[in-house]
Amino acid sequence: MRNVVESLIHIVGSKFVSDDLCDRWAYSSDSLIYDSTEPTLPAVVVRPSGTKEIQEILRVANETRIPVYVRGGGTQCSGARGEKISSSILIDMTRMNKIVEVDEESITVTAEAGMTWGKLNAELEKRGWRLGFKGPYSGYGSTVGGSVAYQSNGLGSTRFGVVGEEVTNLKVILPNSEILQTGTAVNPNSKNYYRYCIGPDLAGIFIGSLGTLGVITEVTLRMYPEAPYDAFGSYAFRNYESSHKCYYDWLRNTVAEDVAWYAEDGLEVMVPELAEKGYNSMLTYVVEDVSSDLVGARKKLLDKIAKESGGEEQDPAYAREGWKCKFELLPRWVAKIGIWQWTCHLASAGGSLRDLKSVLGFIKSYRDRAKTYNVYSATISIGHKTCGHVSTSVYYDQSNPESIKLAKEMAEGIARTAAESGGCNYKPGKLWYPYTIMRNPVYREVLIKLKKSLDPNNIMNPGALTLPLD
Amino acid sequence: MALEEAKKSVYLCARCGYCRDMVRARDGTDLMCPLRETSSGFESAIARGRNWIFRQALEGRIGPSDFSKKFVDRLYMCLLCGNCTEHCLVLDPSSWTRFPKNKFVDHLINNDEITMALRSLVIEEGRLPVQIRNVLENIRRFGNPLGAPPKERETFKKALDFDIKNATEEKCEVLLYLGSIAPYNQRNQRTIQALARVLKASNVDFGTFGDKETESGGLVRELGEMGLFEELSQRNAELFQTYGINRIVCLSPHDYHTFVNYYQDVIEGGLVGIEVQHYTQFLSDLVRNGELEIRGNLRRTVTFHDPCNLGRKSGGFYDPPRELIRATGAKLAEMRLRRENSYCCGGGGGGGLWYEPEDEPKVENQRAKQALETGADTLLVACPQCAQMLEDGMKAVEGTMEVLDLAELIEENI
Repeated sequence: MRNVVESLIHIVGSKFVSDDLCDRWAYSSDSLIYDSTEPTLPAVVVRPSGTKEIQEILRVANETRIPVYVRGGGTQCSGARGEKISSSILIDMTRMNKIVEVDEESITVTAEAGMTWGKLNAELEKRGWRLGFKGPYSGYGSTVGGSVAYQSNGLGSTRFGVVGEEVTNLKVILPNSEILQTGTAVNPNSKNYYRYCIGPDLAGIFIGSLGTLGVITEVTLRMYPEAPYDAFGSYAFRNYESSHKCYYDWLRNTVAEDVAWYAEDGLEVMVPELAEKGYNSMLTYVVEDVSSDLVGARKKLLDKIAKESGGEEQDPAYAREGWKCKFELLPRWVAKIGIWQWTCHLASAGGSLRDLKSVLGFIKSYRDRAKTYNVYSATISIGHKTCGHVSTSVYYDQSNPESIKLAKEMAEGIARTAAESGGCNYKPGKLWYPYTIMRNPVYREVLIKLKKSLDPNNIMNPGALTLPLD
Repeated sequence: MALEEAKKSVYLCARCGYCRDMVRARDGTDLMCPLRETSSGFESAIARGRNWIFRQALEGRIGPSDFSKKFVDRLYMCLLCGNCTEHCLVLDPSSWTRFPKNKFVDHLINNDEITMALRSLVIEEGRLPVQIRNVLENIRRFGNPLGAPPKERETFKKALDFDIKNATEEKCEVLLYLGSIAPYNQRNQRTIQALARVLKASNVDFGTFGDKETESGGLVRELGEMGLFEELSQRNAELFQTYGINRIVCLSPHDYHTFVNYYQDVIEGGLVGIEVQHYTQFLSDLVRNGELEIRGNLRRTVTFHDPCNLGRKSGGFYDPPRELIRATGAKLAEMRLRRENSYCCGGGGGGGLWYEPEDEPKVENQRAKQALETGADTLLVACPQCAQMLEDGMKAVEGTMEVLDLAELIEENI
């Protein structure tokens, strides 16, 4: 390993390479519940500043057969880490944090993969533009490249989908150090403005790949003119059939920037005042756009649907608060009910009621034990275009091993229950492998073949996505 | 906050990384940790990484004897500027209604305290860097980090054409507490002289402790030497009691912060019956009460650097210095990173002024550049450490902006 460290120092300089024990400890976990109890130390951490350095690092990894794990903001919590971290080179991407180009002609922005969503949003705002997908819920600290490799959802997903749907082009360093550009960028004379062209969509194989197929170094996203007009709405319901009807119709019409469905446990924890009044669910919407007429028309339609479904109008602040203070609500709950573990997944818009009921049924079966060990759940579902979504966060006490154990058990159970009800994860990770990839041998075999052909030495995050370790 | 509190607080960390990277257009938040961009930027140099290592130590996966030289170096590189704590979103639920205008104490994870707890572990292991060991030894022996003879504390008096009372010999209404750094430094002696002249002009009955004044204890606490902190705080409290002090005006925000926020850890109720103010608060009150007359015709364009220990870490005293600037008639050109978002001068945290880390972050150069961006002709500070650091920073970046303490600006205009 000493030789590897020396080679890395030669590439990026001694300041940005460390095999120091404490540095390795500092990178031994992301945010997943398993990481906190079973931290895994990389062998060496390197902080490159650009594409050329990454190409060289991958050459060293290939020559020495040392695994490579690529890390963005370190906020993922579904289990992206493969099994070979302890002998790996961990590439910390966060020195690559600049905007490459704001291309107003193409209406796209290209950012280095280590740029945080907070910075990207702020930079675009200054120039009179906005993103569709604005970043995952940990957006200030998480990176653009990390989200793409991890297939995040987040703010703006109702109107714009998960992050991958906003990607027009990627620049990827393949395991053999070659540079792959996707979409219109395949034509050396074209700019970055469209994804589906020339041939098959190669960007797609890297989105959600957890860094198993290469290192994403630049991401091009669509951008939109700033939207100074907005409207917010909140409606409470006394039964799920009514709230689901409203949710379904809101998604079917896809006119909101954000639609959130607070189910029973979510309401009890986050909005107890409504739960105490006998409501079992609440729906909120956010609309924003470039003209007041557009916003007004959308708001009118959403309000009409809600009222016809039996919704009772509530304070729009429930919707406004989270949107105005982007990325800021989630950490707050830690002080009240503990650290979170997400188990969010997709469901068909019409099937999300069935899925929701199964998940809530499972959670209820844990009610007494959960109370004993300070474990809470909150189910809040964010619509994804025309697709439904059920997201249960399990909150637990990190200082209590029993609380951690129970939270793990519940998170695994929710994933199992959801998969059986027709739900499907979008963020890949350990929680879901037994119910999805492992149940479809053809899908897995194609993944393995793809991996072998792009990464014959299996250096990139081996073991992730159920890919072979050797 | 004691070690027990640091332990509780570390389990609230959500590992969201906001202490490392948070750029927010809404209020101009940027450059969260001054060491992120200026050092090698590894996680162990940032709150999230340090907190994680502290947690591993608590759970027995790693012991203080495993703390590497590099990690100890990074621990003492931290400037304890409080920016990461100020922006952490793990907020006391009872304060949610104030969001996003929360107070420093609403933030339940005090990253500075966790860093100090880690430094304490380093000291218990006897593995502290030589420079830090020397600073502690000097304070123990001479009451100041330089190891200078206490007599030199009174050098500043030579340039004054009036006498200053010695509060250990005669009664005075206000004890001017000069701290353990400024009196030994030529640049800061000018500030003390300016402040003394302003107080004299306002007919304030003030005095100092002369060569009997000793380190407040804040510096040793920040370096992780909790035992010596306790000793110094008890000694100072006794001194204040012995000489009937009931009002202290601090030259340095560090001492102000120590008296107001740290003493209560080891003295029940803190300095009971003693009103403690930073000099900018005191002077601002004098102006408001008509006891200090400022001409108000100053033709300068100034920018003001908020000291971390007066702003963020002491309840947000951002306005008194600005009120004083307004009173001089000077035009204020604000820096982009100011008030809650202020960027450290590079001199805090115990290590800032006294320790040269391997990465040589030179935070002061960055702050000097930020000041130059305003186009002002004067960079104003209200802290002796900031004055030293930013004067160095300004020279390093070859800026022509004059670095003045606010006391010097006021002296110019009375």
